[in-house]
Amino acid sequence: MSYQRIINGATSLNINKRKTTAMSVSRSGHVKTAERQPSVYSFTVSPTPVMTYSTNRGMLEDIDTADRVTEANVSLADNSNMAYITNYQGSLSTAQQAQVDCRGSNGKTLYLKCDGVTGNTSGYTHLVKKGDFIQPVGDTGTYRYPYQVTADVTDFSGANVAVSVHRPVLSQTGTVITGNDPLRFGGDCRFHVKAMVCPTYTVIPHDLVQFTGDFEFVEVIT
Amino acid sequence: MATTIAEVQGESISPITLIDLQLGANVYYISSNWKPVTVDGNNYSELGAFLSVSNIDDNLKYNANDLALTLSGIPSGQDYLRQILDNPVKGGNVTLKRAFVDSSTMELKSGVYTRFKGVITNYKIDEQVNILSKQMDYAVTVTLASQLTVLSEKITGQRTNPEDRKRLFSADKSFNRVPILFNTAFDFGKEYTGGGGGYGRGGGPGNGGGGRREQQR
Repeated sequence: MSYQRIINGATSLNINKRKTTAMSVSRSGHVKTAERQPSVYSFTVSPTPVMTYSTNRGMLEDIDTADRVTEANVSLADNSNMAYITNYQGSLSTAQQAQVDCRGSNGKTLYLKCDGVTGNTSGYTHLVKKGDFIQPVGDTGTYRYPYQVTADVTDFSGANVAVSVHRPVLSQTGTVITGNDPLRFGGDCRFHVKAMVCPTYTVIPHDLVQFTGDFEFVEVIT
Repeated sequence: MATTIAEVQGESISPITLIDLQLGANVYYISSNWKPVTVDGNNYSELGAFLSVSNIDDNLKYNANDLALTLSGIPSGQDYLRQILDNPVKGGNVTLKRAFVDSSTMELKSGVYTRFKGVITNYKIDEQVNILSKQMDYAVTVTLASQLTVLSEKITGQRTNPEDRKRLFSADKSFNRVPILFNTAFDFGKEYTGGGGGYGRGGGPGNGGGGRREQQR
Protein backbone atom coordinates (compact mmCIF):
# COMPACT_ATOMS: atom_id res chain seq x y z
CA MET A 1 0.00 0.00 0.00
CA SER A 2 2.99 2.26 -0.25
CA TYR A 3 1.81 3.79 -3.48
CA GLN A 4 -1.58 4.36 -1.90
CA ARG A 5 0.17 6.41 0.78
CA ILE A 6 1.90 8.46 -1.89
CA ILE A 7 -1.48 9.20 -3.48
CA ASN A 8 -3.08 9.94 -0.15
CA GLY A 9 -0.41 12.51 0.63
CA ALA A 10 -0.28 14.03 -2.85
CA THR A 11 0.10 17.75 -3.18
CA SER A 12 -1.21 17.54 -6.73
CA LEU A 13 -2.70 14.84 -8.88
CA ASN A 14 -2.74 14.94 -12.66
CA ILE A 15 -5.22 12.57 -14.31
CA ASN A 16 -4.75 11.75 -17.97
CA LYS A 17 -7.07 9.41 -19.80
CA ARG A 18 -6.83 11.02 -23.21
CA LYS A 19 -6.67 8.93 -26.34
CA THR A 20 -3.48 8.30 -28.24
CA THR A 21 -3.95 10.43 -31.33
CA ALA A 22 -2.33 11.63 -34.49
CA MET A 23 -3.35 14.80 -36.30
CA SER A 24 -2.53 16.30 -39.66
CA VAL A 25 -3.31 19.77 -40.94
CA SER A 26 -2.98 20.14 -44.67
CA ARG A 27 -1.88 23.26 -46.52
CA SER A 28 -5.51 23.82 -47.30
CA GLY A 29 -6.38 23.77 -43.61
CA HIS A 30 -8.14 20.42 -43.53
CA VAL A 31 -7.68 18.67 -40.21
CA LYS A 32 -7.66 14.90 -40.01
CA THR A 33 -7.18 12.77 -36.92
CA ALA A 34 -6.45 9.17 -36.12
CA GLU A 35 -6.86 7.60 -32.70
CA ARG A 36 -5.85 4.45 -30.96
CA GLN A 37 -7.72 2.80 -28.14
CA PRO A 38 -7.91 2.01 -25.32
CA SER A 39 -7.32 5.22 -23.45
CA VAL A 40 -5.66 4.08 -20.27
CA TYR A 41 -5.49 6.12 -17.09
CA SER A 42 -2.20 7.64 -16.08
CA PHE A 43 -1.59 9.66 -12.96
CA THR A 44 1.20 12.06 -12.15
CA VAL A 45 1.42 12.41 -8.41
CA SER A 46 3.47 15.03 -6.61
CA PRO A 47 4.31 13.47 -3.24
CA THR A 48 4.45 15.22 0.08
CA PRO A 49 7.48 17.52 -0.26
CA VAL A 50 9.25 16.49 2.92
CA MET A 51 8.50 13.72 5.38
CA THR A 52 10.04 12.49 8.58
CA TYR A 53 12.53 9.83 7.67
CA SER A 54 12.44 7.75 10.83
CA THR A 55 8.68 7.30 10.78
CA ASN A 56 8.48 6.53 7.06
CA ARG A 57 11.24 3.97 6.66
CA GLY A 58 8.70 1.20 6.27
CA MET A 59 6.95 3.02 3.45
CA LEU A 60 10.25 3.72 1.73
CA GLU A 61 11.13 0.05 1.94
CA ASP A 62 7.76 -0.86 0.44
CA ILE A 63 8.34 1.55 -2.44
CA ASP A 64 11.80 0.15 -3.09
CA THR A 65 10.36 -3.33 -3.06
CA ALA A 66 7.47 -2.52 -5.37
CA ASP A 67 9.66 -0.35 -7.61
CA ARG A 68 8.43 -0.22 -11.19
CA VAL A 69 7.65 -3.90 -11.23
CA THR A 70 4.84 -4.64 -8.82
CA GLU A 71 1.28 -3.71 -9.62
CA ALA A 72 -0.65 -1.72 -7.03
CA ASN A 73 -4.39 -1.60 -6.54
CA VAL A 74 -5.11 2.00 -5.57
CA SER A 75 -8.07 4.25 -4.90
CA LEU A 76 -8.36 7.98 -5.39
CA ALA A 77 -10.68 8.23 -2.41
CA ASP A 78 -8.69 6.45 0.25
CA ASN A 79 -7.97 9.81 1.83
CA SER A 80 -11.38 11.21 2.77
CA ASN A 81 -10.16 14.70 1.98
CA MET A 82 -9.66 13.56 -1.61
CA ALA A 83 -13.05 11.87 -1.95
CA TYR A 84 -14.48 14.79 -3.87
CA ILE A 85 -12.39 13.71 -6.88
CA THR A 86 -14.42 10.58 -7.46
CA ASN A 87 -17.64 11.23 -5.53
CA TYR A 88 -20.78 9.67 -7.02
CA GLN A 89 -23.03 12.40 -8.43
CA GLY A 90 -26.21 10.38 -9.01
CA SER A 91 -29.24 10.02 -6.79
CA LEU A 92 -28.99 6.46 -5.49
CA SER A 93 -28.11 5.74 -1.91
CA THR A 94 -25.20 3.45 -1.12
CA ALA A 95 -27.64 0.59 -0.47
CA GLN A 96 -29.41 1.21 -3.76
CA GLN A 97 -26.11 1.34 -5.65
CA ALA A 98 -25.50 -2.21 -4.48
CA GLN A 99 -28.80 -3.24 -6.10
CA VAL A 100 -27.68 -2.17 -9.57
CA ASP A 101 -26.17 -4.93 -11.68
CA CYS A 102 -24.15 -4.94 -14.87
CA ARG A 103 -25.79 -7.11 -17.49
CA GLY A 104 -23.60 -6.51 -20.52
CA SER A 105 -21.60 -4.22 -22.69
CA ASN A 106 -21.19 -3.24 -26.29
CA GLY A 107 -18.32 -1.06 -27.43
CA LYS A 108 -18.37 2.05 -25.26
CA THR A 109 -21.70 1.25 -23.63
CA LEU A 110 -22.41 -0.59 -20.39
CA TYR A 111 -25.91 -1.99 -19.84
CA LEU A 112 -27.14 -1.85 -16.26
CA LYS A 113 -30.01 -3.67 -14.63
CA CYS A 114 -31.72 -1.20 -12.33
CA ASP A 115 -35.16 -2.77 -11.88
CA GLY A 116 -33.99 -4.34 -8.66
CA VAL A 117 -33.54 -0.98 -6.97
CA THR A 118 -35.87 -0.75 -3.99
CA GLY A 119 -36.80 1.98 -1.58
CA ASN A 120 -38.10 5.47 -2.00
CA THR A 121 -36.87 7.04 -5.22
CA SER A 122 -39.04 10.14 -5.16
CA GLY A 123 -37.03 13.16 -6.08
CA TYR A 124 -34.36 11.10 -7.74
CA THR A 125 -33.09 12.62 -10.97
CA HIS A 126 -30.07 10.67 -12.17
CA LEU A 127 -28.71 7.17 -12.13
CA VAL A 128 -25.29 8.59 -12.99
CA LYS A 129 -24.01 11.92 -14.18
CA LYS A 130 -21.39 12.76 -16.72
CA GLY A 131 -17.95 12.24 -15.19
CA ASP A 132 -19.07 9.62 -12.66
CA PHE A 133 -16.78 6.65 -12.10
CA ILE A 134 -18.28 3.18 -12.41
CA GLN A 135 -16.61 -0.21 -12.39
CA PRO A 136 -18.21 -3.61 -12.89
CA VAL A 137 -16.82 -6.23 -10.54
CA GLY A 138 -17.62 -9.24 -12.73
CA ASP A 139 -18.55 -12.74 -11.70
CA THR A 140 -15.26 -13.19 -9.83
CA GLY A 141 -15.33 -9.81 -8.14
CA THR A 142 -11.94 -9.05 -9.65
CA TYR A 143 -12.73 -7.02 -12.78
CA ARG A 144 -9.99 -4.44 -13.09
CA TYR A 145 -11.07 -1.56 -15.25
CA PRO A 146 -13.03 1.54 -14.16
CA TYR A 147 -14.88 3.78 -16.58
CA GLN A 148 -16.19 7.32 -16.56
CA VAL A 149 -19.67 8.17 -17.71
CA THR A 150 -19.89 10.43 -20.75
CA ALA A 151 -23.61 11.29 -20.65
CA ASP A 152 -26.14 11.85 -17.88
CA VAL A 153 -28.51 8.92 -17.35
CA THR A 154 -31.91 9.64 -15.82
CA ASP A 155 -33.41 6.15 -15.96
CA PHE A 156 -32.69 4.60 -12.56
CA SER A 157 -35.29 1.84 -12.65
CA GLY A 158 -35.02 0.21 -16.09
CA ALA A 159 -34.03 -3.37 -16.70
CA ASN A 160 -31.53 -2.52 -19.40
CA VAL A 161 -30.22 1.00 -18.94
CA ALA A 162 -27.51 2.04 -21.40
CA VAL A 163 -24.65 4.02 -19.90
CA SER A 164 -22.08 5.55 -22.24
CA VAL A 165 -18.53 5.39 -20.96
CA HIS A 166 -15.28 7.00 -22.02
CA ARG A 167 -13.59 3.98 -23.56
CA PRO A 168 -14.54 0.62 -24.99
CA VAL A 169 -15.34 -1.91 -22.32
CA LEU A 170 -12.27 -4.09 -21.91
CA SER A 171 -12.46 -7.82 -21.60
CA GLN A 172 -10.58 -9.63 -18.88
CA THR A 173 -9.54 -13.24 -19.15
CA GLY A 174 -11.34 -15.37 -16.60
CA THR A 175 -13.87 -12.73 -15.62
CA VAL A 176 -17.29 -12.10 -17.11
CA ILE A 177 -19.10 -8.82 -16.57
CA THR A 178 -22.32 -9.80 -18.26
CA GLY A 179 -23.76 -11.96 -15.51
CA ASN A 180 -25.82 -9.42 -13.61
CA ASP A 181 -23.06 -8.80 -11.14
CA PRO A 182 -22.83 -5.57 -9.13
CA LEU A 183 -20.84 -2.43 -9.84
CA ARG A 184 -18.75 -0.03 -7.89
CA PHE A 185 -19.70 3.62 -7.96
CA GLY A 186 -17.66 6.75 -7.34
CA GLY A 187 -14.95 6.48 -4.75
CA ASP A 188 -15.27 2.70 -4.52
CA CYS A 189 -13.70 2.34 -7.96
CA ARG A 190 -10.14 1.12 -7.94
CA PHE A 191 -7.21 1.34 -10.34
CA HIS A 192 -4.56 -1.28 -11.05
CA VAL A 193 -1.40 0.67 -11.75
CA LYS A 194 2.34 0.35 -12.05
CA ALA A 195 4.82 3.14 -11.49
CA MET A 196 6.26 4.21 -14.83
CA VAL A 197 8.39 6.75 -13.02
CA CYS A 198 9.41 5.93 -9.49
CA PRO A 199 11.65 8.64 -8.06
CA THR A 200 14.33 7.86 -5.56
CA TYR A 201 14.54 9.63 -2.22
CA THR A 202 17.09 11.78 -0.52
CA VAL A 203 17.65 11.81 3.21
CA ILE A 204 18.35 15.31 4.42
CA PRO A 205 19.50 16.55 7.85
CA HIS A 206 17.18 16.65 10.84
CA ASP A 207 15.58 13.28 10.10
CA LEU A 208 13.85 14.34 6.89
CA VAL A 209 13.41 12.67 3.55
CA GLN A 210 12.20 13.92 0.20
CA PHE A 211 11.55 12.30 -3.16
CA THR A 212 13.51 13.44 -6.16
CA GLY A 213 10.48 14.01 -8.34
CA ASP A 214 6.92 13.10 -9.16
CA PHE A 215 5.52 9.60 -9.36
CA GLU A 216 3.90 8.59 -12.62
CA PHE A 217 1.48 5.72 -12.48
CA VAL A 218 -0.08 4.07 -15.51
CA GLU A 219 -3.05 1.73 -15.55
CA VAL A 220 -2.13 -1.86 -16.36
CA ILE A 221 -4.11 -3.43 -19.17
CA THR A 222 -3.60 -7.18 -19.28
CA MET B 1 -4.07 -2.28 -58.82
CA ALA B 2 -5.23 0.69 -56.79
CA THR B 3 -7.58 0.05 -53.90
CA THR B 4 -9.92 2.71 -52.64
CA ILE B 5 -10.08 2.70 -48.86
CA ALA B 6 -13.41 4.18 -47.90
CA GLU B 7 -12.51 4.65 -44.25
CA VAL B 8 -9.78 7.19 -44.88
CA GLN B 9 -12.20 9.52 -46.64
CA GLY B 10 -13.53 10.59 -43.25
CA GLU B 11 -12.11 13.25 -40.96
CA SER B 12 -11.29 10.92 -38.11
CA ILE B 13 -10.17 7.32 -38.32
CA SER B 14 -9.18 4.59 -35.91
CA PRO B 15 -6.72 2.35 -37.68
CA ILE B 16 -5.36 -0.91 -36.33
CA THR B 17 -2.51 -3.09 -37.54
CA LEU B 18 -2.82 -6.83 -37.99
CA ILE B 19 0.31 -8.95 -38.37
CA ASP B 20 0.70 -12.56 -39.49
CA LEU B 21 4.13 -13.65 -38.30
CA GLN B 22 5.48 -17.07 -39.21
CA LEU B 23 8.19 -18.36 -36.89
CA GLY B 24 9.18 -21.89 -37.70
CA ALA B 25 6.08 -24.01 -38.08
CA ASN B 26 3.80 -21.62 -36.23
CA VAL B 27 2.00 -18.49 -37.37
CA TYR B 28 1.34 -15.87 -34.70
CA TYR B 29 -1.45 -13.36 -35.12
CA ILE B 30 -0.57 -10.02 -33.56
CA SER B 31 -2.72 -6.94 -33.36
CA SER B 32 -2.54 -3.35 -32.21
CA ASN B 33 -6.25 -3.35 -31.45
CA TRP B 34 -7.60 -2.87 -27.95
CA LYS B 35 -9.21 -6.32 -27.93
CA PRO B 36 -8.82 -9.56 -29.92
CA VAL B 37 -10.38 -9.59 -33.38
CA THR B 38 -11.06 -12.40 -35.82
CA VAL B 39 -10.21 -11.77 -39.46
CA ASP B 40 -10.38 -14.44 -42.16
CA GLY B 41 -10.88 -17.07 -39.48
CA ASN B 42 -7.69 -16.10 -37.64
CA ASN B 43 -7.87 -14.80 -34.11
CA TYR B 44 -5.58 -11.81 -33.62
CA SER B 45 -5.35 -12.17 -29.88
CA GLU B 46 -1.75 -11.18 -29.17
CA LEU B 47 -2.05 -7.61 -27.93
CA GLY B 48 1.00 -7.18 -25.73
CA ALA B 49 3.86 -7.74 -28.16
CA PHE B 50 3.71 -5.31 -31.04
CA LEU B 51 5.88 -2.26 -30.38
CA SER B 52 6.54 -0.67 -33.74
CA VAL B 53 6.98 -1.09 -37.44
CA SER B 54 9.17 1.06 -39.64
CA ASN B 55 7.76 3.17 -42.43
CA ILE B 56 6.33 1.39 -45.40
CA ASP B 57 7.69 3.11 -48.48
CA ASP B 58 5.06 3.10 -51.20
CA ASN B 59 6.24 4.24 -54.58
CA LEU B 60 4.89 4.02 -58.05
CA LYS B 61 8.20 2.63 -59.25
CA TYR B 62 9.52 -0.76 -58.31
CA ASN B 63 10.44 -0.61 -54.67
CA ALA B 64 11.81 -3.29 -52.42
CA ASN B 65 12.75 -1.59 -49.18
CA ASP B 66 13.21 -3.67 -46.08
CA LEU B 67 10.91 -3.29 -43.13
CA ALA B 68 11.70 -3.61 -39.43
CA LEU B 69 9.09 -5.08 -37.12
CA THR B 70 9.83 -4.63 -33.43
CA LEU B 71 8.31 -6.90 -30.82
CA SER B 72 8.55 -6.76 -27.08
CA GLY B 73 11.32 -8.82 -25.59
CA ILE B 74 9.23 -9.20 -22.47
CA PRO B 75 6.97 -12.22 -22.86
CA SER B 76 3.32 -11.35 -23.32
CA GLY B 77 1.18 -14.06 -24.88
CA GLN B 78 4.29 -15.57 -26.40
CA ASP B 79 7.96 -15.27 -25.61
CA TYR B 80 9.02 -14.01 -29.04
CA LEU B 81 12.63 -13.72 -28.02
CA ARG B 82 12.74 -17.43 -27.38
CA GLN B 83 10.60 -18.29 -30.39
CA ILE B 84 12.97 -16.43 -32.67
CA LEU B 85 16.04 -17.97 -31.12
CA ASP B 86 14.64 -21.49 -31.12
CA ASN B 87 13.10 -21.60 -34.58
CA PRO B 88 14.45 -21.34 -38.12
CA VAL B 89 12.89 -17.96 -38.67
CA LYS B 90 14.65 -16.93 -41.84
CA GLY B 91 12.25 -17.11 -44.73
CA GLY B 92 9.16 -17.02 -42.55
CA ASN B 93 6.25 -15.26 -44.18
CA VAL B 94 5.01 -12.01 -42.70
CA THR B 95 1.94 -10.07 -43.72
CA LEU B 96 0.95 -6.65 -42.44
CA LYS B 97 -2.64 -5.60 -42.82
CA ARG B 98 -4.53 -2.51 -41.91
CA ALA B 99 -8.06 -2.53 -40.62
CA PHE B 100 -10.29 0.10 -39.06
CA VAL B 101 -12.54 0.21 -36.04
CA ASP B 102 -15.61 2.35 -35.71
CA SER B 103 -14.76 5.54 -33.85
CA SER B 104 -17.94 5.46 -31.77
CA THR B 105 -18.44 1.78 -31.01
CA MET B 106 -14.77 0.79 -31.43
CA GLU B 107 -15.88 -2.38 -33.18
CA LEU B 108 -14.06 -3.73 -36.23
CA LYS B 109 -15.25 -2.55 -39.62
CA SER B 110 -15.42 -4.91 -42.55
CA GLY B 111 -12.55 -3.81 -44.78
CA VAL B 112 -9.09 -5.28 -44.20
CA TYR B 113 -6.29 -4.12 -46.47
CA THR B 114 -2.95 -5.82 -46.97
CA ARG B 115 -0.10 -3.32 -46.72
CA PHE B 116 2.99 -5.48 -46.91
CA LYS B 117 3.97 -9.02 -47.69
CA GLY B 118 7.46 -10.25 -47.16
CA VAL B 119 9.79 -12.75 -45.61
CA ILE B 120 12.07 -12.61 -42.60
CA THR B 121 15.69 -12.09 -43.62
CA ASN B 122 17.27 -11.25 -40.31
CA TYR B 123 16.58 -10.52 -36.69
CA LYS B 124 18.15 -8.31 -34.07
CA ILE B 125 17.87 -8.45 -30.32
CA ASP B 126 18.14 -5.14 -28.52
CA GLU B 127 19.13 -5.33 -24.92
CA GLN B 128 20.18 -2.18 -23.16
CA VAL B 129 21.03 -2.06 -19.52
CA ASN B 130 21.69 1.18 -17.71
CA ILE B 131 23.15 0.32 -14.35
CA LEU B 132 22.98 3.86 -13.01
CA SER B 133 19.37 4.55 -13.85
CA LYS B 134 18.54 0.87 -13.29
CA GLN B 135 16.56 0.58 -16.48
CA MET B 136 16.64 -2.13 -19.07
CA ASP B 137 15.21 -2.26 -22.58
CA TYR B 138 14.37 -5.52 -24.27
CA ALA B 139 13.14 -5.78 -27.81
CA VAL B 140 13.51 -8.08 -30.74
CA THR B 141 13.41 -6.69 -34.26
CA VAL B 142 12.84 -8.84 -37.31
CA THR B 143 13.93 -7.48 -40.67
CA LEU B 144 11.53 -8.19 -43.48
CA ALA B 145 12.28 -8.19 -47.17
CA SER B 146 9.46 -7.42 -49.49
CA GLN B 147 8.25 -10.16 -51.78
CA LEU B 148 9.42 -7.92 -54.59
CA THR B 149 12.97 -8.47 -53.37
CA VAL B 150 12.42 -12.19 -53.35
CA LEU B 151 11.00 -12.09 -56.85
CA SER B 152 13.81 -9.90 -58.14
CA GLU B 153 16.38 -12.43 -56.97
CA LYS B 154 14.53 -15.39 -58.37
CA ILE B 155 16.10 -17.05 -61.45
CA THR B 156 13.28 -17.25 -63.94
CA GLY B 157 15.20 -18.31 -67.08
CA GLN B 158 18.46 -19.89 -68.07
CA ARG B 159 21.83 -18.27 -67.83
CA THR B 160 24.18 -18.67 -70.79
CA ASN B 161 26.62 -21.10 -69.26
CA PRO B 162 27.06 -24.83 -69.45
CA GLU B 163 26.05 -25.38 -65.83
CA ASP B 164 22.60 -23.92 -66.34
CA ARG B 165 22.28 -25.65 -69.67
CA LYS B 166 23.08 -29.02 -68.15
CA ARG B 167 20.70 -28.36 -65.31
CA LEU B 168 17.91 -28.20 -67.83
CA PHE B 169 19.32 -30.42 -70.62
CA SER B 170 21.99 -32.70 -69.24
CA ALA B 171 23.11 -34.13 -72.59
CA ASP B 172 23.31 -30.87 -74.49
CA LYS B 173 26.89 -29.68 -75.16
CA SER B 174 26.08 -26.56 -77.11
CA PHE B 175 27.06 -24.18 -74.31
CA ASN B 176 30.29 -25.94 -73.43
CA ARG B 177 32.45 -23.44 -75.30
CA VAL B 178 30.80 -20.42 -73.77
CA PRO B 179 33.43 -19.93 -71.00
CA ILE B 180 36.24 -20.03 -73.54
CA LEU B 181 34.52 -17.56 -75.77
CA PHE B 182 33.71 -15.37 -72.80
CA ASN B 183 37.38 -15.10 -71.87
CA THR B 184 38.60 -14.42 -75.38
CA ALA B 185 39.62 -10.96 -76.60
CA PHE B 186 38.60 -10.14 -80.13
CA ASP B 187 40.19 -7.37 -82.17
CA PHE B 188 37.17 -6.46 -84.18
CA GLY B 189 37.85 -4.79 -87.53
CA LYS B 190 41.37 -6.13 -87.78
CA GLU B 191 42.38 -7.62 -91.09
CA TYR B 192 42.43 -11.36 -91.16
CA THR B 193 45.82 -12.61 -92.23
CA GLY B 194 45.01 -16.26 -92.27
CA GLY B 195 47.71 -17.16 -89.80
CA GLY B 196 47.59 -17.67 -86.13
CA GLY B 197 43.89 -18.30 -85.78
CA GLY B 198 43.16 -19.46 -82.34
CA TYR B 199 40.19 -17.40 -81.33
CA GLY B 200 41.38 -14.13 -82.86
CA ARG B 201 44.64 -13.73 -81.05
CA GLY B 202 46.88 -14.68 -83.88
CA GLY B 203 46.21 -11.77 -86.26
CA GLY B 204 48.87 -9.50 -87.72
CA PRO B 205 50.17 -6.25 -86.24
CA GLY B 206 47.54 -3.71 -85.45
CA ASN B 207 49.22 -0.76 -87.12
CA GLY B 208 48.96 -2.29 -90.51
CA GLY B 209 45.31 -2.98 -90.10
CA GLY B 210 44.61 0.62 -89.22
CA GLY B 211 46.24 1.84 -92.38
CA ARG B 212 44.22 -0.51 -94.48
CA ARG B 213 40.97 0.73 -93.09
CA GLU B 214 41.77 4.25 -94.13
CA GLN B 215 42.52 3.08 -97.60
CA GLN B 216 39.23 1.30 -97.86
CA ARG B 217 37.35 4.46 -97.18
